[in-house]
Amino acid sequence: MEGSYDHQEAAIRALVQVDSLAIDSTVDVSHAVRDRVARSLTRPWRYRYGVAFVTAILVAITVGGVTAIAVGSASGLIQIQWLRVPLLGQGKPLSASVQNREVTSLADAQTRVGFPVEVISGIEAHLDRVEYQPPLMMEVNGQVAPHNTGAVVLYYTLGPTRLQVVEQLDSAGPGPLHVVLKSPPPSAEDASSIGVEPVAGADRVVTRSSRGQIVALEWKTLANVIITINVEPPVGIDSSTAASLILHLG
Amino acid sequence: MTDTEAIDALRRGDSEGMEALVARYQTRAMRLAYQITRDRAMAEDLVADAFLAVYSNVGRQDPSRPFEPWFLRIVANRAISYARRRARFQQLAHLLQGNDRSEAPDELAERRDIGREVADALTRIPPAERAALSLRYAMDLDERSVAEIMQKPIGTVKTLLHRGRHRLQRQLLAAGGGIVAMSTTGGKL
Repeated sequence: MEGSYDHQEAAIRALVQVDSLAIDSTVDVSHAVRDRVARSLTRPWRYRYGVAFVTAILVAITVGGVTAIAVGSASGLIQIQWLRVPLLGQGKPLSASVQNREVTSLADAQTRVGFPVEVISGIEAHLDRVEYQPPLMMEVNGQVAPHNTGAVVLYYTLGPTRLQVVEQLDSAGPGPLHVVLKSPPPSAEDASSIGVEPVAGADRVVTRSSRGQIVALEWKTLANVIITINVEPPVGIDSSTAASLILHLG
Repeated sequence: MTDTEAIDALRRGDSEGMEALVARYQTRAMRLAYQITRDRAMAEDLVADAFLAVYSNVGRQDPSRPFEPWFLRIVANRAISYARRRARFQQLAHLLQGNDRSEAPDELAERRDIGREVADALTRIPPAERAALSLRYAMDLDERSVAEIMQKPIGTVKTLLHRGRHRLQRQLLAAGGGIVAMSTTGGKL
């Protein structure tokens, strides 16, 4: 009887295995997964955008009883906020983070920031120097804490143009790119303008000179890394060069 | 990249971690989801959703425990849930449409196909039993692992397997195909 049972189980096993082969090893759901992950990042961001924006305004208006005006503008996954209050709020910076940058290797900088650094490759951009920028330490109500995360700063030469690329994990976590600027929104008469523009297939924060050239770009990757490209003034770059730079970052 | 490295990468937001996990587990996950749902398109949908659940909940995954049982549990739970909902809907649809549909000659001929007979027979057994059979026989896991994935006592898994085998056998007998003799007399397939 037991032998019969074993045979029956073996037969059932074989039948179930044959049935499972309806799905062969060429199956590929990676595209569907990528789509879902991308959408999952988009949906909550849009939701959080509203909450974050309202919260930011309320915080800006109420912190310290200081008169503050917050004006927001946004497109897609980017939120720009203009505040007439100190950028660092009530906190007191304990170190000059930018001045503490140290020249290092790409590998070392990557280890210290803890994420894969994107490097421009495939075009005539020469990587001149790599720096690690430590987090800015702040003292708020007697408590010392990092205000942000460490950053990698990459300096390139692209023909006559010099570029600085800053890559930094967003300490705020997943969510829209939240850009806070310590000045009122520029009017049409201002020498430069900041806005959100589509470049290389996605929205970026674009700073243009008075001559219309791009002098800075900023966006946030799916890996939660904020990338900023600064173009050494007074020479800017045009939109197609900016798109090419972004497409060659990887 | 090992599972642990892939999950660490995913925690850092590195998409390579997800790519590695998808490449390694998609076929087994698809087979499990398909065997429970009996619907390839739905299986793809469920598996993609399961990977998304991994992405969203990777922080909850216990790093000291293996990834595969945790992931297959997500797939199995979703597939069983879907299959149960569909079964209830089909029962209702069947009642609304009446039961007077006769099979066309070509359908009868098609049903002689062994693969189709097995597929039909599996379709008629409850999703939880299908899940247990798939995990035990198609995934080749032992009963303890099946119990862990299905989050059921091992005794319940033994019962599900026992019932599933007998129900599958009865379905195949009712279909009257050649495989019935082999499955009941011990002949090789």
